[in-house]
Amino acid sequence: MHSRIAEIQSYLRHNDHSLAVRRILDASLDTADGALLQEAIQVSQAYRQYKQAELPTTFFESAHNLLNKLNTVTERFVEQSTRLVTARDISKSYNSGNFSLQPISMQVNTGDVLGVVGENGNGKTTLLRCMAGQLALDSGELDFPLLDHPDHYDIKHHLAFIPQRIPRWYGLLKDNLHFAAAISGVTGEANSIMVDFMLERLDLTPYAHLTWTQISSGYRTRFEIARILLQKPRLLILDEPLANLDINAQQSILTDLRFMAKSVHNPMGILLSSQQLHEVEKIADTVLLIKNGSCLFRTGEQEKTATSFVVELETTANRETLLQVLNGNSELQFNGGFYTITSKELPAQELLSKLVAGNIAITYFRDITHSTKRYI
Amino acid sequence: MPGFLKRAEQKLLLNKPLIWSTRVHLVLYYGILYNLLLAGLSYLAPLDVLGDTNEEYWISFQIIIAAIAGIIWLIYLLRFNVFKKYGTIKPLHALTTFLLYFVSTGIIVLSVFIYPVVESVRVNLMYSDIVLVQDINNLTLKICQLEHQVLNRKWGYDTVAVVENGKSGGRIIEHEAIYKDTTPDGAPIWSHALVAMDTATFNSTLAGIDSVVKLNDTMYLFYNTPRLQFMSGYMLAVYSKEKLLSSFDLYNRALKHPPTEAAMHTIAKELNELERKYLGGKKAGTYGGDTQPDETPGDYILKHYPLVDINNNITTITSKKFDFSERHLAEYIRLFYYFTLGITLLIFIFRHTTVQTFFLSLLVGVLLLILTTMILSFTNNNSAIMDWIVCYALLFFARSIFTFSSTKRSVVNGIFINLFVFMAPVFPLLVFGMFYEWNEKRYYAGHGNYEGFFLKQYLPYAEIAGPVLFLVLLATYINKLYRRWYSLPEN
Repeated sequence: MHSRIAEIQSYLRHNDHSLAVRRILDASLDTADGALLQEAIQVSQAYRQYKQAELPTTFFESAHNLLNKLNTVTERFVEQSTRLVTARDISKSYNSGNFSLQPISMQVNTGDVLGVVGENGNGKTTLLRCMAGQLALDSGELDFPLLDHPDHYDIKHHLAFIPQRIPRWYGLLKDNLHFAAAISGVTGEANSIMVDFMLERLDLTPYAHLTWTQISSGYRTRFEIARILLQKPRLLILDEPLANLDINAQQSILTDLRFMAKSVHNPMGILLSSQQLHEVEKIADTVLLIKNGSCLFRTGEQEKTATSFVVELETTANRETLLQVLNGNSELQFNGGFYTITSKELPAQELLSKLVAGNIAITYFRDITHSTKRYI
Repeated sequence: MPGFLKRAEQKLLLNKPLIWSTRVHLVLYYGILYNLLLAGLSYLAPLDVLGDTNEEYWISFQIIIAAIAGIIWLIYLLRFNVFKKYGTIKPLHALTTFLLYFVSTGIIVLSVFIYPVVESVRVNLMYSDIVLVQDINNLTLKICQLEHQVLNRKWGYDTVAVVENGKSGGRIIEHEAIYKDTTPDGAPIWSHALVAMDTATFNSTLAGIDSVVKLNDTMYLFYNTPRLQFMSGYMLAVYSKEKLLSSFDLYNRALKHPPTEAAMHTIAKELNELERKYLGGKKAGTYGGDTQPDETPGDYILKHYPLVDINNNITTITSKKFDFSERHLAEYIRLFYYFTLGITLLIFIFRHTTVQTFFLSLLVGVLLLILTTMILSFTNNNSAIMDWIVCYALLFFARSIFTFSSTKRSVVNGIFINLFVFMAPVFPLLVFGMFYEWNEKRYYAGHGNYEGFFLKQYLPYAEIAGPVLFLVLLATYINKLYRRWYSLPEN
């Protein structure tokens, strides 16, 4: 059995039904088989119908039947990583104001998730808009190797940008989704199937018949993501997509984006900015920390040169008790909310063991040795 | 929305997003339905055939309705835009969308013409050409019969001398004598003059003369029947197959063989009925006061018969009948076409440019026009306006080419592109206008008059060349131009 199918069956066994259904949808999409896709949509609809109560046996039967069918076509689950875009020393200055984005280079491949983090006003949006081709570069270049002599229209056709403030939609939400799919070449029956798929995939089916003003900002973000994904972009750029989402939705969206980036049906690269450092770091392959227009830190490169271990700790114990437990092996800083412990000798695991052994009541503990958090 | 329209809408949305986004299917359906309803209402509305037309009220009202309909359509239209979403577009995208916008705008604009058309149809059904001509002929015939003694006067004549070909170059009045002669009893007769003509002019004039007396081989008397046709008939003479009786015909029928006394009563009764028919039951006014001894027969007739009012009423009828005749039809078609074209161009430009650039383009266009006319007024050279406008059009075109080498989206470039696109359909007309003015001045300088200057006959070619040129540009150049400009990154 293919590992993906086995993984989904494991989710079903351990009652991670929501995740299982989403992964079934992803797997059926990757087969590029319309019949399997429709079957997966039906499984999802059945789940949605009964999820508040106990799921009937028929649901599990249909899910397993579908998984068995998917297992027969797993040769289609072939992942390939190709270079999507390379930015070489791109920079941008604004005539008004005193802000400049310093030369930055990066590369995004299919399947990659690249996070851009930083405080407000440091250049995240500017960087993303430059990558999206919305802002003219002062220097540097963008290269899209998958496109053959593209003009700017072709580039913008193949990449998608979701801004922080999503422009209003008009008409029925579902019509907007149909339109988005149709203008990308998905027409007829395939259009209907894909829109139904996306509604199920992002849990939007109950709201499809509504209009923009009738849904919350969180669902607007989801609908916008659904619309963009229906256009099958190669590169998806999102500016602060988590801003309007609750904590569960943030987790869910980020996980979904990660899975979708690695889709076989439409592999894409994802570039997103966010204030939610830890959430982004969980799913991103690379995280860039932008400060004052410069890339201060990039995970994957500089973590190998980290010279000390750093953890965050929230505790009811006082400083003296902590220092006593740590026995002078570490530096301690307190910001009023939690402590930051820096140690040249003790890695995070050992620090944790020491604290537990010293009966320190730990409310929150995080290893930020390789996180951008330590540089903010 | 009816079921078939919903299904069509869904099918278009899933398969032809470009057509769907223009909402042409909705505009066509509701537009045709509304126009049919309007036509029905116009047909059933009370119509005073003899009175002034109500079309200006209907047109004014309909313009408001059309404007509201247009705004509603634009609100729908503004919602979805394949081009601005960087969707998949085919090479003929610009041409297709323009034609769809044109059709939609045309259906809305067409509603303004519905009432005048229906009114004209109704009047044509009520008063055919034959009936009108026959009634006019009967009216004048009966008047001539009743007043044959007053109308039977001596005929006026012209003395015509035939000269050698080439000497006169046409007709020359050697002795102009347009005067009123009188008979011994004081009754007026027509004027006469001495005229010299070459042979060609003589032969062509002869065909239209009522009576000729040959004095010798080179001298003739051309007699013309006194005026007996007191009705104008407006455009009946041009468009009707039935012809109005000429004064000569009336003379032969009424004055040469006047009716008996016994028939006069019947003639008077029939005349009365005809008058009532064309007065619509209203009392006619009298004109001119009492009969004077030296007044013309025409004055006499107008004093005794309500021909002024009848003439006016018949003119009202014929103006409604022939409102869409050949001569006027061309004007209405031009009105419809240019108005629809103007609105369609604005919509097309708006759908392919940014909001800011669109409104700035409008502002720049208006300001340029005002400044140009002001400058030309101060320099007292109003005829050069065509030259300036043609130069502007060429400048806009030249500047638009720079878009292909730009790396940033510039508002200034956008303005030039928009203004070029707006002027492109009428560019051949502008060039024709400029050429016409130049040649008109040269002709006048050479000949001292405008007789023989017939350049206007080429105007339709310029009018047709405009849309043809524009459609070709749409399919080739303009398509690429907007695609390039809109997708460029901003500064």
